[in-house]
Amino acid sequence: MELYGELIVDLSKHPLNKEEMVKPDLSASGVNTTCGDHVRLYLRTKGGKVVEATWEGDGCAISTAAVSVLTEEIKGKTIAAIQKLRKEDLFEWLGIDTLGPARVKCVTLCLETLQSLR
Amino acid sequence: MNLRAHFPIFIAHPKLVYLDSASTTQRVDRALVAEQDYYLDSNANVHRGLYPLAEEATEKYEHVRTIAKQFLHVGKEGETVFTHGATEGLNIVALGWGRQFLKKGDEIVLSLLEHHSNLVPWQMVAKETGAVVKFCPILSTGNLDYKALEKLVTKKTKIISITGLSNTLGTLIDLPVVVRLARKVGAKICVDAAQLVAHMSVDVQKLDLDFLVFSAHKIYGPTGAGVLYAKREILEAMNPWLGGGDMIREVSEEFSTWNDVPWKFEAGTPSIAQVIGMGGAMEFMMDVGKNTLMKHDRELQEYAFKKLNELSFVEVYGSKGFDQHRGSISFNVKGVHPHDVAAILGEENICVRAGHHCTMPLMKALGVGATVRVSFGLYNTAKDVEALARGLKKVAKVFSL
Repeated sequence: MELYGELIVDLSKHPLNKEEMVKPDLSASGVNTTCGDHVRLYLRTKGGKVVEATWEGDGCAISTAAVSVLTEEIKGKTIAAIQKLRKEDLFEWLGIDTLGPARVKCVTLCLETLQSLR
Repeated sequence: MNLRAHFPIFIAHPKLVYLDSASTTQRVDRALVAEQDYYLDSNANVHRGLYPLAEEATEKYEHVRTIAKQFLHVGKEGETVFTHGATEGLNIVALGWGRQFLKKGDEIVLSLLEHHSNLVPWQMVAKETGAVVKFCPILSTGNLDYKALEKLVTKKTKIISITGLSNTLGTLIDLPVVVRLARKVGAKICVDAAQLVAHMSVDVQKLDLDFLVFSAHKIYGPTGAGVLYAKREILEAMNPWLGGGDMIREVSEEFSTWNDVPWKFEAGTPSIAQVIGMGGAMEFMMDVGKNTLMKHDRELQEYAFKKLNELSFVEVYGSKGFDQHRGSISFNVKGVHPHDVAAILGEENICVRAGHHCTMPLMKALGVGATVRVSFGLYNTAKDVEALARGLKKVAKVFSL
């Protein structure tokens, strides 16, 4: 399976929701110390549901694509539902089966950062 | 001499394009045979047993000191300490010599090219002693700023600890210039030769170095072995930094006395097989000889720069002339993260490194987060460079550059 498919390459060149949010309701940062990728997530919530999600940061194509789809998919979800997301959900949204141990963190960094929000 | 034929990895992986030798090299047959011979024929602990097998093991182990003396052109006995690698060697210098002889206000001069192993131990000893770490900057060419170094080295400087060859940029350091500056103020000079010894013949006497370290695994030998060279009078004045067996002369319940140099610094059972393997690796390097080594490096490097320069989407960092450059080339594909470049090259069986290469202050000075690094060894050929160029074209195609 081709890892660098159309979706991932497109999202890496034209990331979604990549902007700072002024006065977010929730925000958190995450760093992958082995490669230096970093992400900051911002959420606006209403009645326990996400109404807007944006991010800033820098990373490889896989991590940029992952945080792009993540911030899209969580809109409308409750905070409780977000806590239940698994890395396999991200793989599905990205259209990939699995990742080797060296790259799996590229996908999970944004998810772990999101789930560190309390 | 068919250099590649000496590396058995290419039997199992004939299509392997290995361009990560600055990280670790592939192992040479001679080192593997030496290591295995010890295990199969002479396996016993060293410096202890009174039976013939132990004597044979000790003889093989100690013979490597003679080889190391030739390899580094060491003058005296007792000046080559076996370590577990360059990192341990640098820690012996920083935490052994530094902790003992540095005081508040003394200055330690490093360069921005340093690997973390020649940086973190000095920060640790500075924190303990009150000494100060100073960094010599680099020029935009990737070369050391020698004018800045001249100003940085003062009467306060007690040691200059510097790489001989940058693992990230491949920048060669003009060591005679650095040694002259150290001598002018009475400072010690320590060279991290982890990369240097893989690409140049080093003469510690001619260079008049106080300390030099390297690892066996970067010159085609096993992991877990290395050499610390130091002048005998310095080693004799230094306290041991690790206590245990073999490093003592006499132990009572109240006190212990130390063994002679270099054994004073070799506490515990050493990496016997790996040290013996390292002997094979050093002999191989000496058999290849500096002329063949230089010719091989020059041809490969000049061809690599030519091929990389043909690719408009590649940006190369650092010095390019052969007189100032060996081993590693750092670059980026414009608009593509280095990890994606390395992953796509990996799909083509081309092994390169992407990241900060354990040189985070240097990355900051270059204004990049990470680079792709290719580094050459004696097994690489022009075909590997061509495979790299093809692989990079694939990266450009995937990202529609």
